[in-house]
Amino acid sequence: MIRMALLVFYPFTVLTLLSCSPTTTDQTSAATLRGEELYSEHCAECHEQPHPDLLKQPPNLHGTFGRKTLPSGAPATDKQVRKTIIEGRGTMPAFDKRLSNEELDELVQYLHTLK
Amino acid sequence: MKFGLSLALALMLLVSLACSHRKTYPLQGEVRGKDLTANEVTVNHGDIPGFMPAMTMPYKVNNRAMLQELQPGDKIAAEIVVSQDGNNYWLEDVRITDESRRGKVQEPTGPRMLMPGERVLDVPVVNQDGRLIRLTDFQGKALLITFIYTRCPMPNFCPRLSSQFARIHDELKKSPGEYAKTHLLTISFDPDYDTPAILRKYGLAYLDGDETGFSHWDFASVNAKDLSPLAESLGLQYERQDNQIAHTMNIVLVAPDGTVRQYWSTEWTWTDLVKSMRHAIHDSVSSGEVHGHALYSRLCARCHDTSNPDLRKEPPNLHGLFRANVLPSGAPATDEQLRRTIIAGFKTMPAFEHTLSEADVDAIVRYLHKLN
Repeated sequence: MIRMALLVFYPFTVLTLLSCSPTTTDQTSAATLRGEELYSEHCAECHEQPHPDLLKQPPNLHGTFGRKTLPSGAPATDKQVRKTIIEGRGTMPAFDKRLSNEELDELVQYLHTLK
Repeated sequence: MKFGLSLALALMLLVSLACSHRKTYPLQGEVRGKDLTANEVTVNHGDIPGFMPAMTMPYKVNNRAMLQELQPGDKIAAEIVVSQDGNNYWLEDVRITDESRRGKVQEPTGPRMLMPGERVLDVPVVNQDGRLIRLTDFQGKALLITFIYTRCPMPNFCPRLSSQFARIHDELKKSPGEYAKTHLLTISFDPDYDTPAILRKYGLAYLDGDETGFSHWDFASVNAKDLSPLAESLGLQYERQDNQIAHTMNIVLVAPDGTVRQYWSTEWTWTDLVKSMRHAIHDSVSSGEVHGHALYSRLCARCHDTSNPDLRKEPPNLHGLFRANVLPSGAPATDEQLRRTIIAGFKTMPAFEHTLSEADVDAIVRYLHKLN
């Protein structure tokens, strides 16, 4: 009886393990890591600390995609966030020439994870 | 023949005596460059006591033929002639004393950084309305200039500059008189990206959406050709790196007479800048008053501003002279009394009758009104 159970258990375990395919999740984590680096390099300085010198305080970006709208009131979509990063907004500078499309993707991806 | 020579010498003597009210100073230095359209030679010279400390600066040369001969590297001697009112000076009797280093000195590639008191360059920039404006368009107003590029991502640099300029703008707006006599100019050195449309958007963000603010604060771009002379003249250093532009923080105050008044780099607050702008419009510093200050420094300060144990009587301090009703002597504190004292002297104070012209004395008296 126990032998029967074990016979079922092991293959099941192996199958389960095999199905946690390392390739796709590892790629995603790598991209998120790069996104985190990009965030630290380009965004954190304004968005992560208070700046009494600045006319308008940059909004906190934690939980950006957890809400329906962005601080500006625009819908919290990838497209809108990309637009804001590329073109700038109000006193936020444009990152148009500063980030490649790939970097932009990684950054947006990271923002999804930023709680 | 001898008679003719004596006559000529006598005439020369008479002429030189007649002209003795002009002041002259000896100049010795090295030619660094020249500007034929302005009739000026730029000379690097040592201290000229009573006139100018050691520096490199342009001098007008009236003898155009001589000016054409001069080349960078030439060592020259000349007489600096100062006009009676002290406001103009030029070189006469320019002679080359040493040509051996001719051509061995590089001509300055462009204007050097302007000193306070020198006129800003007539450089055009294009503002947020697409209109061409010049740095010289703002005479009669105190003009505060700084340099940015809109894509700058560092909060302590361009965003700080623009944010603080916004505070200055708001403060000056509180007084219509001050608002009318001041102007702000933010110049981008990234004209490729910072087009009029982008500048307008950027400007509106800092003006909080109020486009009437553009009448007081222009956001402009300087084109590639004009950027270098503009930057050098105002001490801006910049360097393109990858997709960033590294640059020094630089703020310049231009006085209502179109001359550079003051520079700042990183150590300032917006209240410092407003205070300086207010001084610039209320002081109405004219070249006459700068002259009064210069004369005071040269002729009065060494007795009246330093204690000299060798002197029998201590010269009185002249700061705040007109705050009291009487002068240190007990005489009434009036311009006329002061003039008399300077011209005729007073007890152990020498008479300046033969050293100063009437205009000079007036300039000193005017300056003493401001000396607190």
